[in-house]
Amino acid sequence: MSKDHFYVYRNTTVEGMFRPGTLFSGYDEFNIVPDTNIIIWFYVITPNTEHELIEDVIRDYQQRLSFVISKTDSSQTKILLTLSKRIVHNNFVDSDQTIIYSIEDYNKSLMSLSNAHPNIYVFNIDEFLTDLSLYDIIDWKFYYMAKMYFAPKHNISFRKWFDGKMNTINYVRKKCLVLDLDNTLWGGVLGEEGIGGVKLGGDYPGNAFKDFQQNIKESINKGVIVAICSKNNENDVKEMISRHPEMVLNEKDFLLIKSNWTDKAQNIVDIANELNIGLDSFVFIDDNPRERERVKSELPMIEVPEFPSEPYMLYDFFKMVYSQYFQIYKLTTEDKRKKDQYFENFKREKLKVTLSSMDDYISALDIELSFFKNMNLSRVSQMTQKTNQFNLTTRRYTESDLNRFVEQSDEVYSIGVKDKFGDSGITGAAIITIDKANQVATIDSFLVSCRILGRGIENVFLNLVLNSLYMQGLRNINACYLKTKKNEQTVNFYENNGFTIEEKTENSKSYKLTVNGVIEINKSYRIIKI
Amino acid sequence: MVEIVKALMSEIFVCSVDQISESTMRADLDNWDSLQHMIFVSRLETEFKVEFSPEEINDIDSYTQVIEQLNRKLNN
Repeated sequence: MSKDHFYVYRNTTVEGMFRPGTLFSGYDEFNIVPDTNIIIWFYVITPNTEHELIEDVIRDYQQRLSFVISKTDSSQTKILLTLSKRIVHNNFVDSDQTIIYSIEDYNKSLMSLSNAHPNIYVFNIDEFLTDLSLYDIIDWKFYYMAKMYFAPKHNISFRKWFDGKMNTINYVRKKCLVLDLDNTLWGGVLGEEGIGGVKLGGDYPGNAFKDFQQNIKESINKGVIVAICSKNNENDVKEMISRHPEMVLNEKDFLLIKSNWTDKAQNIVDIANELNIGLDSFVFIDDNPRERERVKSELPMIEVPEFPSEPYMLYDFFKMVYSQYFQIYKLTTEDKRKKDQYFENFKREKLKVTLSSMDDYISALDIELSFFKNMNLSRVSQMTQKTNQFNLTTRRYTESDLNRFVEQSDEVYSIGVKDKFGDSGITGAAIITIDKANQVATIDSFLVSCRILGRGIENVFLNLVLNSLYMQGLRNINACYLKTKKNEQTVNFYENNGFTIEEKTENSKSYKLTVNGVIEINKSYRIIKI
Repeated sequence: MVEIVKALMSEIFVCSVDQISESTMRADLDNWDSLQHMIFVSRLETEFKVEFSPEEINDIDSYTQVIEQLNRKLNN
C-alpha cells in the first residue's frame, strides 16, 4: 500500500487542489478500488444538474459512497468532503428549499458515517469557502473550459487548508498556551491601575477581554494547557485572579503562574521543564512586540502569533490561533483530563524531593498498574501518533492498522497508571509481532507517555510484556531502537533492561534477549491484569 | 517577467528551467497537457493580475506565445 498517498473520487476537475502524486478517479467513476492509504471523497453538484433531479442525484452520490466504503479496506483512511450550501444553483422559487434540505441530509449522512467508523473523517468544505465571496468561488471560464468547479486561483489556499485539516485527524496539536496578562487577558496595567482600574467585562473594551477569556476557558475544556508568564507582582496577580468579579479564568485554570520580572524566554524554558513538555509544543501570546520578539529570537521553535492592535479583534484572533495550533477532529477523555494529569505530576515531584530513596518514593505513591492485552486500540493508535519522546521506534499506526495486528495474532499491550494523586489513564503501549513458526517475538513498538516517567513504570511495563510472552512459550525476543530528533532518552532503554546489541548503526540499534524465566516484579507496584 | 514565467512553467510542467527557450513548443514538454495548461493559465492570471480570454487560452501553444500575450496585456 502506498503510504500517505491520496486517491480522490470526484466528478469535476480537482487535480490542482491536491499535493503532487495524488491519484484521481475518472469523472463520476466509483467502481475502482485504489490501494492508497488515504481516500478522498469529493463530489459537488454541477450546474448542469436538472433542478427536479437534484434530490435524486444527491441520493445517488450517497449510494456511490456506500459502495466505495464497502469495497475499500477499513484500514484506508477516508476523508469525506461535504457539499456546500453556498451552491451556485439558481433557486427559482424562494419557498422551495429542496436543494438545501437535500444537501443537509447528505452532509448529515457523511457525519454519521464518520461517527460509526474510526477511520472516516468529514471535512466541511464551507469552512474553506467561508472567506471567499460567492462570485469568487467559481470562475466560469475555467468551469466551462476545463470542468474546474472551484476557481483554480484558490488551489494553493485549498491545499493549505486541507493539509491543516489532515493535521487535526493526525493529532498534530500544540499543547500549551502561555499568556501574558496586562493588555492581553484584561485591558490596562494591573500594577498601575489596580484591580478596580483594569478593563474586564462591562463596556468596551472590557467585554472584548472577557470574551477572550471565555474562549480560552473553552479551549482548556478541550485539553489545552494554559500557563501565565507576566511581568507583575505575584500577589497583585493572585488577588486579581481570585477577586475580580469578571475574571472568567480562575487559579485552577492555570497550570503555572510565572509572575515575576525575569526574562520571559527563561520563564518559558522553566515552564517547559517543570511540565515536561517540549518547547515546540508552546504557543506564546503577548501584546508587547518586544517580548514577542525576544521570545521568538531566543526560542525559535515556539509559535508566537502577532497580537491584534485593537481589543475588538481578539475574537477573530483567538479563532485563528485555535484553528491553526489546537484544532483536533475528535476529543478523547485523555485530552479532557490533561490539565489535571499535569497538575498531579507536580505533587508527585514534590513528594519525590521529601523522600530519600526511589523505592520509598514508589511505595509512598501507591502505584496501581492495569495491564491490558489487545484492548484500548483507539487510545493506543492515538499514542503511536502523538508520542515522540519515550518512543523506541516512533512508528505511527491507525486504529485499523492495530486491528490488523490483532487479527493476525500479533499482540498489542497497553498499560493504565493510577496512584494516590490521580489517574493518568492509558499511558503506555507495546506492539509485538510474533513469528509463530520460529517462536520469535519482536517488539515493533514500545512507548510511554512522558507524564508517567520517573516512577520506573516503563521498566515494569516491559517486564510485564516479556512475562506475558514467556508464558506463551516465547523466549526469544528481538527489539530495535530507531533514533529520531526527539527520542534521545530511550537510547539505552533496552541495554538497561538486559538486552544485548546485535547490530548498531548511526541511527539505529537492534537487540536480542533470551528470557529464562518469569521476571520478578517489584512488589511496590500493584498489578491488575485484564 | 521572463524569469517568473519560466519558473512557473518548470514548476507546473515538472521540467528544468534550462529546458525552456524561445523555441519551446507545447508539444515539447511532456506534462504540458490540457489540464496543466489551464492550471498554468490560472497561475499566470494570478501572478500578473491579467485575464486571458478563452480564445487566447486556446491560442497559447508555445513559450513565446505566452510572453507575447503577456507583453501585450501588461503594456496596455
